[in-house]
Amino acid sequence: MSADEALWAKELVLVTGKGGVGKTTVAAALARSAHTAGKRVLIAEVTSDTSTKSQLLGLFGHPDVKGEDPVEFEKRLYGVRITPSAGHRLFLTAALKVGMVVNAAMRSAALNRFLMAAPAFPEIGTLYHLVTLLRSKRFDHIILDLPATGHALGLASLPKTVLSVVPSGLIGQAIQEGLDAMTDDARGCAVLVTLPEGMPVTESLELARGLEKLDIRVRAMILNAMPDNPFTDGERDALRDHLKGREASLLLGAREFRRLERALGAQAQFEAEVPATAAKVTIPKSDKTAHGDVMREVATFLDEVKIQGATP
Amino acid sequence: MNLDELVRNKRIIVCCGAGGVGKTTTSAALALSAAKAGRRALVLTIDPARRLAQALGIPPTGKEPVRIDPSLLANASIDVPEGGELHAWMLDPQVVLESVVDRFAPSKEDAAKIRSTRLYQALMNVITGLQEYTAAEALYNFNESGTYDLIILDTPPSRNALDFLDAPRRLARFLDERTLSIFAPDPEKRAGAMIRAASKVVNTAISKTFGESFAEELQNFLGAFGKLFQKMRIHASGVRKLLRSDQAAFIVIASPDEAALTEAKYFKGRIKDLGLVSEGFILNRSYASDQATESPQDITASGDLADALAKLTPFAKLEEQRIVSDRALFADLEKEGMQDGGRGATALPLLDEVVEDLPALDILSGHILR
Repeated sequence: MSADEALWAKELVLVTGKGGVGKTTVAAALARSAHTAGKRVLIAEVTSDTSTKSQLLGLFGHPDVKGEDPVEFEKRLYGVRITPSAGHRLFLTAALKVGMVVNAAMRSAALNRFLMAAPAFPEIGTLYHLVTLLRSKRFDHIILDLPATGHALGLASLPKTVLSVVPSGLIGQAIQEGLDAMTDDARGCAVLVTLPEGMPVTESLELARGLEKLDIRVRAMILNAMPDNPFTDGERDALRDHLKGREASLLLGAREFRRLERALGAQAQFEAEVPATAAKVTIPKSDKTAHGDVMREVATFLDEVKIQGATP
Repeated sequence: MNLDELVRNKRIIVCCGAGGVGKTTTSAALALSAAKAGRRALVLTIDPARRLAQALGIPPTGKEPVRIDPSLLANASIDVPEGGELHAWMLDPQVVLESVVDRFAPSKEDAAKIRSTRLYQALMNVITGLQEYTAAEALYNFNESGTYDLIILDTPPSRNALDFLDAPRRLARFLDERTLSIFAPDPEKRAGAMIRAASKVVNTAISKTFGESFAEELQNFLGAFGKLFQKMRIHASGVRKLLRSDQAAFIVIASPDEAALTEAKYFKGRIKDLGLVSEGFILNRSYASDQATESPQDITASGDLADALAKLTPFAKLEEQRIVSDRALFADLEKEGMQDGGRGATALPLLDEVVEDLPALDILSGHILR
């Protein structure tokens, strides 16, 4: 038997995609939607710098969240910034057990430099912080806004690599737990966000294949900010003919029309190539400009999106 | 900000900005502009746009930079004078790291030994951590080689890019002898009770958290890396010096939307914090310099075209609003860009086509060169 489920209906939801595609908006909207449905929700972002304002948590009115413990925004709704240094502190605390020694160790400039500068150690800290939050079982859903990286798989590919070097011990165990949560279809999933443009769609399809290779289930692919198409096919043909050979910037509206044409092309590719295992969701372009308004609109839209749950 | 002057005179241009603002294409257009100005230009990109790579005829992960075939440029009717060359490299962190090990390891055996450790092999896979180190390393080496007149670095998107700016400094700190000596084998040989004590805490912490075998392996690894680190440190400070000199320019690229602009201003602040000067902003893909002369209702038509033009009116309104708001944004960026020794801003237009071939790059270049 299978039942319809909300998009966010997993314990750990990794929201990912290239920069500038509206990933943060979608992550916030998913959290908002889950919260509206009565769930205990943690909205989290990965960062190494908490001295600046968080765009994601700013959408909930708390751009300055710091520290390893989630902050309660509203009843059942929490936010946190997942950072390497919080993770380092947490694992040192777990390893050394004595608070005084941990503080001494964290004060050691040498250790800090090492943990922040040695390749992979910041990421290990990040993962450890995440696993600590998963272990706490305080939340029905953790919605994680993954950072945009050049290497699309970024953090998602890290657990396997780390485990090859650190198979045991406190860290190894924690990383294994994180990996289990990410790769267990019943607990974790990824939601990929992309824009209706050629390159972004192609790249997100590649990212989806990469995630599947890591055994991370891509639950849904979201085509974000799809513009409305008021034209019939005949009208589009006529307009295209009219514009042929002219510089579009001379006719007001022509460039927006060309943008729409590209979006329709990208949407066709999206519809044709998204793997059958992932739900396809197209979010219409909002005419709001303020980030918070757009997020609320997307959340309302996502409230209605149901996808078929796994058949047990 | 005068981009023409920059591509003609600088030796290094670093492009930063949030993801999705068009850094890669802008970097490529800057490099093409330099080639058209008669310089040997190299564009180093970390976040490759595959179709652009295809159009330029370069492999996605080559061992070294590739010169764009002059006949490709000629076929696209791009006029490159004598001496002008366009080179590109999709930077592959693994390739760079290997060459670092080969060059700096005291002997071939040492290089092989380093490469055979599990830690090194894992390191090779942690691309997120490697990009920043390798970008700085590659930049330094190409500059030293003297093969190019201008190197344009397309940084990784968003937060990684900040890491790049910080990479030389972080590397230098990491390679600091006092840091390393704590992890090096036989800390007892070193003088100083402080170091011995710190070393003990660190060793306990590491073996308890990572397991005994890892602690041992880490020490072996760092032991093997020892001499290599010392030589790399020279580079770390070399990179810093280079990026601080007036031969280098930092440009922050933004697109006209709230998020990208916030990031752009943040970048400018970070560049300043790092003791560097940001030359200014590029407002990319904007309508700021648009000069549309015709409205849909000015056109007499019948049938489908008439209906289409009627429906185009809201699109025209939207575009008109964008022109106004983009101009305001640009004025704001220009002002902000003048501060702290910068030179304001430049607007590049949103082209009709997606920029993924040489002719489109050439159009962009037309807006860069005067």
